[in-house]
Amino acid sequence: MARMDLLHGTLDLLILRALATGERHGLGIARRIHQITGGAFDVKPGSLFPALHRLEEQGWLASAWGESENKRRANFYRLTTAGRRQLGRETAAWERLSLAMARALES
Amino acid sequence: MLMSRWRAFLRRLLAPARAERDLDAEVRSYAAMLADELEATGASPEEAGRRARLALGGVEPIKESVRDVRAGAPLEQIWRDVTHAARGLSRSPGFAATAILTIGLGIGVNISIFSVIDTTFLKPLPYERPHELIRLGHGTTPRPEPGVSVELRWDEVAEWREAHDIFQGVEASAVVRTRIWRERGEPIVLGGFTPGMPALLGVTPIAGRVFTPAEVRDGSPVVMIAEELWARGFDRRPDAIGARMTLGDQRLTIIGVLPTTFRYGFRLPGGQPVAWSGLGGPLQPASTNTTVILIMRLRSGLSLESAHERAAVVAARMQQARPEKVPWMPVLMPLDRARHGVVSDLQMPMSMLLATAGLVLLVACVNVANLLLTRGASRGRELALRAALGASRARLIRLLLAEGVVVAALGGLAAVLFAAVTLEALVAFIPARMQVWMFQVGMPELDGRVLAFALSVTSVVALLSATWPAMSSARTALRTSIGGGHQVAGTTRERRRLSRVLQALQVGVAFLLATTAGLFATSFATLVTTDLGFDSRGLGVIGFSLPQGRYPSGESRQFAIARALDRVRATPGVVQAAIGSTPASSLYGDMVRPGGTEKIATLSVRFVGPGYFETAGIRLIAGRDFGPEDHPGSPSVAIIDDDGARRLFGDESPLGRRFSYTKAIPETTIIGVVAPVKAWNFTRPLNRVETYLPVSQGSPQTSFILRAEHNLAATLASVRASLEVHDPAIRVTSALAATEPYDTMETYTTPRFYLVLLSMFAVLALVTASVGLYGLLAHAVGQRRREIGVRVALGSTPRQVRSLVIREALAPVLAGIAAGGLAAWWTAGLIASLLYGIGPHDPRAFVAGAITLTVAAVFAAFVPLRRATGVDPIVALRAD
Repeated sequence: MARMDLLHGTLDLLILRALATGERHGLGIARRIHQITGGAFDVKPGSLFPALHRLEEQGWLASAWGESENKRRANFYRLTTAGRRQLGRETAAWERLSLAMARALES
Repeated sequence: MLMSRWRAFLRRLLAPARAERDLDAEVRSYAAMLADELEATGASPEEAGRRARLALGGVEPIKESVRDVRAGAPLEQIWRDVTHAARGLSRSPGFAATAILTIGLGIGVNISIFSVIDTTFLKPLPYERPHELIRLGHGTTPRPEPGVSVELRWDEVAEWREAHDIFQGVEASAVVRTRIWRERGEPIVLGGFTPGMPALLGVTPIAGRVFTPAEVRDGSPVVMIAEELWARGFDRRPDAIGARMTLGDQRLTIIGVLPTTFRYGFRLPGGQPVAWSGLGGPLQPASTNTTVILIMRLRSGLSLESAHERAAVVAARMQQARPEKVPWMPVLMPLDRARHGVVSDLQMPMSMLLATAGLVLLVACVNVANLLLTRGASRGRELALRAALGASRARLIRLLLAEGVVVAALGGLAAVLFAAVTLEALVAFIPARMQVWMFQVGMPELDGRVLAFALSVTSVVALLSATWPAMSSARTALRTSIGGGHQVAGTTRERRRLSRVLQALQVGVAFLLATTAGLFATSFATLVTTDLGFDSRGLGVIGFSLPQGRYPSGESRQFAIARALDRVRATPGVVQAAIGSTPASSLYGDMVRPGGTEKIATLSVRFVGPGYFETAGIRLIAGRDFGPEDHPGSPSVAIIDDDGARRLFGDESPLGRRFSYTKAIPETTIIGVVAPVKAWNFTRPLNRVETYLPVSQGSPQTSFILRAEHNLAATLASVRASLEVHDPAIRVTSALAATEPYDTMETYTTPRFYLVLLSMFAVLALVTASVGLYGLLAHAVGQRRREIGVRVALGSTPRQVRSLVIREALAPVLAGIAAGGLAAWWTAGLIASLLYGIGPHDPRAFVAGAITLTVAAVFAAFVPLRRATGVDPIVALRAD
């Protein structure tokens, strides 16, 4: 499947989703997105880091320095309570949108 | 959500280094882990690192994009740009110092001048609701001669007070005249006001109280003093209240001190009082003829128009009661505008000074713009590198703009410091009489208004001097980066053209200012070398009073004066003496129509005794002096000055011509013509005919002129003593040099003030423009080192190299002088009224300006020229 450009706003949802199962560092998040989208999305660090910092400043993510599986120092992100709520909201919104899109394309 | 963003912003603001460190570590750990991954798939460590870096696409751009999304990112960026610019400036202290100093001086002079102008013209009066305050004036119909005002009299005050439908309050003030403060022996200007005046204005005494209506009515011996007298005479001691002071023959108790703000806005004829007593009581009896100033407060909400209509009705009623009065219309002048009337003479010179200061600032701006442009050129490589690394045009402009803004801001700061240090000196330099007019609402100071002005000027300066160079340099940098790091000829040429235009502008303004200063200098030189028409060396004047009680009749007075004159002549050290006043004083004119001409002349009449012209050194040109044959019974005679004679009779001889001076003396025959004399106000075109009449045919004059052999001051002292011993009834009221009016009326100091200030501005502009020219040439030589090296290698002589540089300098200088000359020619017409004795297009000033500019240009070009001819071809070619 060819790689797709990320729709505006999609990246935030993907990041929140990737962190739903536990805390991860930047590369881990990129890999997780790659995995859950079946390789459709490959997030570049140039988009990933600004998004992570923005979400953190909005209070949806929290970060702390820790040690990676390879004994590297890394900044680990996790969802905050507000972030979890936001994930719910965005998922619902996305489902409404995709349903509408699907209907539109079927008609 | 908002809160968390703010917290993040604050955290970064408080620990910026830590935020940056964390960001860097995060991106680097990402790269490291990516490399780990690749290594795990079998790549060598070097290969893995390389591919990881490639995938990352550069650490810096990622960090930059993170910074861009952060809260307060624009603020942070500005701060980063500013600190970066400040660091850059601190690395080129020479450039920074020149630019900051130039702007600092440029803005500084503007702040100082603005502060003076603000205090003179703009600040509101320091009274309660000043817009309601009115000063009553009279306009007559038909209008009288210009400058003639019909004055208000005391008997009208009561009637205006009845007009409750127009005014909330009506109060009067008047000047009594100078009294001697006996305890100190110094003259004091005593004023008077009706007791409600301070309350009407909203001014309260700073110590003590105001006199009550009862005190004024009963003539209680009480007096109020001005703050300045309290400071000068009593060191601001509280026990001044209740102290006694004897003014003239009145022994008075001080009951209160009025703040300096009290007197402002209604300057009184006869001087600025420093003590007041109640007007209208026995202490200061106001006769129906006492001239008063009426200050009134309009009823709240009443418009000036309807107030005028109602006042016209009141005036018409007053008119019917006194049909003998000249018809007049009441003019309600807002007190604030009354102040402007007083200072309107200063509007032109002050606007000129502000405009000049503005031009100095313009030169400073242009100079800094040029410096920034040159700096942009020398930073070309750095900028090109930034552009190559992906900095956008906007980013580059911001970077360059930041530098200009930092320079302007520091310059503005320097300017405020400069003004703070120099303002007092500038104010002290303003002639004293001018200060009394100018600073009616207080002395100039660096208050909020002035600081706001400084801030806005600084912003404009930043905009003017930074924008253009920043845009030009950024454009060049982008093209250079595309051109592969080499200077692209076209853009360099474009920038050089721009900087030459700026240079021409600087030279032009400097030339304009130099020429203007030259005009003032020429005018001043003419002024001080003007022949006064009399010999002022050792000439003194003695004024005295003869008590009416002892010498009641005219004859007895004439006799006493003649005896006193004999006594003066006999005093050792006196060469000559005569009855009359100093020729330097200016007397009011009376309009007459001399017989045999159609012209109306203004005669200023001075009564003089025999020997007056000889004593004063006034040359008799034709006819004869007054003599014993001119006595009360003989036909009345006059001597007039040569200028006046020409004005009246042209080339015909005035001798034997007649005119009628007063009803009492119907026919006066001109018997002599003397050289014209310049009184203190000779710079103004008064067109008066100086007319001398013999005292023997007029009223007794209590003033002598005398010529001292050696020391005038000592001679005057001995004359004073000898007169008072000779006749104890005589009181000498003044003993001064005949030239004293030139000093007190500031005949020379006022134009000197303008001249010195203008010259300082011109020098400032000249130095700035020279520094600019130097910078331009030095840079041009630096840029063309390689070219010059090649030329020298190919056999160019130093002479040819020199002409190369001179051509570079000549174009902007010549263009500047031409443009500045045109501007100077045009603006000279505007200041013509401030010049004395020369036309506004006096060639001397223009030639002097051009020479000064050329000399300055040669000086500025000297070092770059030396450097150019000293270029060693080998070194020049190797450079770079």
